[in-house]
Amino acid sequence: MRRAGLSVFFISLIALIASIACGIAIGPVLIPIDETFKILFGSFFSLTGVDPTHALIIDQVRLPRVLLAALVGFALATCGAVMQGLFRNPLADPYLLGIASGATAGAALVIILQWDTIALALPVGSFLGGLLAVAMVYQLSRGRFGRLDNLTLILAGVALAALFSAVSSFLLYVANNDETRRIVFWVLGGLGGAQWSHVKSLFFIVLIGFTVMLAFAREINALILGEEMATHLGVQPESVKKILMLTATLITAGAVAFAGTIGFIGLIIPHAVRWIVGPNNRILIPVSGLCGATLLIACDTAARTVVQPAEIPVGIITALIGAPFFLLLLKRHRHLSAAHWSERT
Amino acid sequence: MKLQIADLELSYDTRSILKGLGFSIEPGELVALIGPNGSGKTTLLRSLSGLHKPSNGNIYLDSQNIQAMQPAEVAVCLAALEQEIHASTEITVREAVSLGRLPHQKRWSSNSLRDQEIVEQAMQETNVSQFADRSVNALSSGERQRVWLAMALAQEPQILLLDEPTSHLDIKYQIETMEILKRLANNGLTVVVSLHDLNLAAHYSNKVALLANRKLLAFGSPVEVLTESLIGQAYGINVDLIYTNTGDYIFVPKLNGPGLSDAA
Repeated sequence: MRRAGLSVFFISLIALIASIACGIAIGPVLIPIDETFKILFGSFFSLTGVDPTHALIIDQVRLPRVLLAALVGFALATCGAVMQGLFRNPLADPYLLGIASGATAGAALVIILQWDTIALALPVGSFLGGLLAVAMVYQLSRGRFGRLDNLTLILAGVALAALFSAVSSFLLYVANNDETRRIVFWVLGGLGGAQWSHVKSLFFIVLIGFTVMLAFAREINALILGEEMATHLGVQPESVKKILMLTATLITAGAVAFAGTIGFIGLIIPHAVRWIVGPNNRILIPVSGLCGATLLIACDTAARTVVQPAEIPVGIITALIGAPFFLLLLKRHRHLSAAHWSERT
Repeated sequence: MKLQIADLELSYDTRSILKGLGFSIEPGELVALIGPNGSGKTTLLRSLSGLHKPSNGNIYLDSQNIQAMQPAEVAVCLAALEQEIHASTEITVREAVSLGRLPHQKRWSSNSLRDQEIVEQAMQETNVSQFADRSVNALSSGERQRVWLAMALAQEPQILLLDEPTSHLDIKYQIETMEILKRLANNGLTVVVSLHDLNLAAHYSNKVALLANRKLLAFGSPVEVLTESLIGQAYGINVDLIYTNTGDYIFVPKLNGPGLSDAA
């Protein structure tokens, strides 16, 4: 295991815990760290010196919001890691393949049809939207011998992302004021609507998805050598792809349902982590998750503090960090990508 | 492990590539697969590893029909290397060779001590231990070829299939690769290797399978198959056989135009 993957794992875990603590303490009302800990672990400490208002803020506002940010960041980063490995393409992520656009369109449709009063209608709607997008991308990019052609896959993803964005824009156009506000929330992305019920639902979705991804980490490792070589190593690439694309769709849709579209986390985190821990997906996927969670908490904390008392949609901040990184990546991979893409898959 | 094919027909869609193939390869034999470009060497190797479904006939590993086996079952007894293998991301030699252990590992298990020993041994066998921690993509093609061979050996296969492993190598690496394969065959591994170089085939193989005109033109010992008339027939050229004073023989194509001595 290159550069002691386990130690990197524990460092990322500590970073995540620290960012959760900071994310809870920092805000329009600054709550001292020691008081934060007293409130979080109330039963272990005496509650003397705790402001009940602060306790209420943490319990009802900041804690669910920070935990939701952690789960969304974890979901997007692990999905990105899996997709990049699966398609042997450094540019693959849940957004580039149209999953997130499909999920957003699905959520928007649920709002327009006023089905969102039904429990779970929003997450189910965005899951179906994401699934539809990914199924279309998948069908469009099946080439000779029924194998996925990776260049076509990315191009089909971009085209379908545009198509589904157009659907969302149209729904936005026909929506009334209240609906518009809620759809815009999805398009811009934000964690302002965090509730404990969201945290709980997403926790289970992410837990299931993450377990499946980790279970298939060794198959993704074998895919580094291409699909035929992976088959020689006993892997069935087509079924692995189907299972993992479904899993990635599930947790991306979950993230989109509760936080809207937040770009670039799934693209940049797995890359940065791969530079440090190497290509082994057993380490890469969990560390990406932890770092994605940490980064999104940091971005969200910035989003709600830099222009107080107003709040910037967090998607803007991740894009501000992510887009330059993406360009850097393109430059770095320019010589590599030509070789990848011309290759028969 | 014995590798047997009977009445095999291979095709892509409706286009027939090879027909009526049948032979049997005993454990410890090194079989050279030769034939002109497009004669179906790669297709045959792909079908022997279970990757390409034959349109007719059967392939047996000992008594088991390969078409009834899952890729995971095949991978524990048979290793196959494609002609060109690319790693899509930076991966060290040791990490690459460790991938060969995958068929033997359970889903949640990690590299055991035994796995690590086998990986180190495989790297020694093909002489790549000295670059164990370097990136595969940074190696020369000859070195990389030996890394993939080490990965195949880490699979602990009983049958090894290789598609033109010497095609991009200089003459020293060609000989080195063939020496490794010969040694492995002598230790009981069944090796099937496609080659373009008739002289390597003549020197190193126990048996030669000659493919041409959509069929198995000849199968037998090098002396039986590598004859002027069969090679001439398969490749559509004229060749001379020249016997060397070490007891080997080499093929020399008859070329048009002046030779070196004429030019001098």
